[in-house]
Amino acid sequence: VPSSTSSDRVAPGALRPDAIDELRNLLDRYEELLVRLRAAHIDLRDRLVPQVESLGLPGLVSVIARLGELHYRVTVLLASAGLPQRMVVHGLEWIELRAAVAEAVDQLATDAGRVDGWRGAAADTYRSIIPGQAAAVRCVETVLDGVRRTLVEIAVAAAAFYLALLALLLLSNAGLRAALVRAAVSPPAGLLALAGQGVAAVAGVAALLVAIEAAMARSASALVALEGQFSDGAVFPHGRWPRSGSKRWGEVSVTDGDANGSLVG
Amino acid sequence: MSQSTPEQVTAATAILRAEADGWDRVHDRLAEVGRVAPSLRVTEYADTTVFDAMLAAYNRLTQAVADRCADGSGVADHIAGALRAVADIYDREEAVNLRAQLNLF
Repeated sequence: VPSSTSSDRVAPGALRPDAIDELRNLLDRYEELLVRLRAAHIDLRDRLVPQVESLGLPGLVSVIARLGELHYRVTVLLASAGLPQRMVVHGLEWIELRAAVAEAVDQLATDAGRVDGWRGAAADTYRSIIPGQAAAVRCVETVLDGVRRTLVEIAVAAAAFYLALLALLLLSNAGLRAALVRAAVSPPAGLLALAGQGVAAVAGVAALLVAIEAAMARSASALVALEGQFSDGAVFPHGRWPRSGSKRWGEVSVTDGDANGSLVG
Repeated sequence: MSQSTPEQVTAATAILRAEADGWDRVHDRLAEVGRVAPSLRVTEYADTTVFDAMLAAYNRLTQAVADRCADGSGVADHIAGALRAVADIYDREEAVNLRAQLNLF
């Protein structure tokens, strides 16, 4: 009894179906969190700020300014909140492309050059180009694997950033609401608390930004390094895919031993 | 060099054409990557400052992958075509030899 059916087999480098389902579930959960993040920010923007303004107390200008700054920063960041999910989806597609290239690598490693009955200069030229072609295809496979890995790192870092932003916004919302209640009862202390909450929220967002900017700088460097592999002259002479050399194969003959190619007789 | 037999020529040209089929598979895989890679560029999140540099590097790399694979698929296609051309030459010569032996000219 065979241990697996043909439908169970997965191409080298491809994802297992259950792994894809798991990733889909994760993406669904991320989408839900994203909705909460947007809802938290909209709540902050549309309800809290007008409520603070409605107090009509002196000194509110600085509080409103802090909240406005927070609102601006978060709005800019939310414009890219779909990026982690996009990177995961693209990462899956790069995995499929890598699997396709892995098939080409296998083809060249195991099957190419098995032309034992072919002799002569043309046959020698043909055999001589195979290692260069195989090295170029392997390089593409390596780069694609690196792209997949880097996209996963980007997705994880960006998702962690937005989830931290979500937590920060929810905490800030709660803190600002509490300070607002306090401001209605005891304006000076409440205002101070409101201002403090605004400052803390802006500082929290700034700290998150420092972390994500550092992570993205590392990812950008990794991607540039991957692109640099295509500039390796040993694999890609003159910055191009190694040539076939097939222009030198033209003069072949079955019988002429002096021609560029012949069959073993 | 001694004369190849018709059977040897037939077997050898079959091997050359099978070899060409292998290069067709290499061409197909690289062409697929060359075709799909440009669609994986990300342009929606420009001007967000946080992700700009990373996305610029990613999009450049995506294009580089597409260019390299398009180039490689063309070379693989060329190799497959050249192998088939060699097999065709052998077949034609063998047919000529056979006709000569049978005094068909």
